[in-house]
Amino acid sequence: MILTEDDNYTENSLKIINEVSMGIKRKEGELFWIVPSRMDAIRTALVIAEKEDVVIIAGK
Amino acid sequence: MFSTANYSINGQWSENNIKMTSPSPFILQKLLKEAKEAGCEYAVIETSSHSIFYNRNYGIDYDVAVLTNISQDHLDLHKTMENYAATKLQLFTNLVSYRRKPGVRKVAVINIDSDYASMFLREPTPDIMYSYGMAANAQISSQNIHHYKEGTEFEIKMPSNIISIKTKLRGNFNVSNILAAVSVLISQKIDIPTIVEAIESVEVIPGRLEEIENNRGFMVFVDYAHTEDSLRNILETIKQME
Repeated sequence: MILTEDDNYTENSLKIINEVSMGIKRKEGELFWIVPSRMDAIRTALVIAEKEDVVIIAGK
Repeated sequence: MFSTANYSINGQWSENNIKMTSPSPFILQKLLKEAKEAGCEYAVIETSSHSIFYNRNYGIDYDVAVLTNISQDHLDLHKTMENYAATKLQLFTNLVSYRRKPGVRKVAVINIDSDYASMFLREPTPDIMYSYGMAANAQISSQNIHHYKEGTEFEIKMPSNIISIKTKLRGNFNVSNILAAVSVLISQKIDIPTIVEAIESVEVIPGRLEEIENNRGFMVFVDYAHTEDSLRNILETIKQME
């Protein structure tokens, strides 16, 4: 699971990321990463994906 | 057609890059004029609660209103789900008072699987009301749904007959949306073979479980999901795909 920025309008995206991460039960670094830049986050997902995996890029 | 993801006028697509489902009335009216000049007879306008709240649909006398669903979203504007539902309901309440074109019936189409359906079903109907949904008591419902990697096969049960559908679209949310589209088309007296042909010709809905082809041996999907309900939907859909 990679958490990133998404259509934050006028709000601070890092603040939103922090608030969302509080609801995620996984520990950062253990199948869960925070990558604030959306482009880098998608790139990371495609790099770590393996054969037979499904990558979902969700958000606006 | 004017939606969150893109605009299309008579088959010409352009991307909706304003990050809003509905543009201002000035832009929308201009686009509608373009559509009319291009020979379009119908306009399909995805109408968000924001656009109702801010009167972005000012001057549009809808003939058909469809409730797809209401799930937790836009609470920065509406504060509570009740307010959010009440805002959407305005479109249906107003349907009766919208200007009528001669001989054109006012139609409400309601997804009865929605938690808020009863609120909309209670609304005094204009001329016709259709209910659709996965639930068997819907007037237009789905049955025998099979999910495949390549798409979905299912049957649509209508009051008068049953039709079989094969679609490249995946997931129960797409089955539900197809039922909505079929209800609208029936209300416009489009014949069944034309409806089936149109549905089966749809390749992909941009940003709705859109698959990105790649040669790395995994599957990549882009989805607009950003609410609890929509994220759960896509994860369940992907689990069902075999």
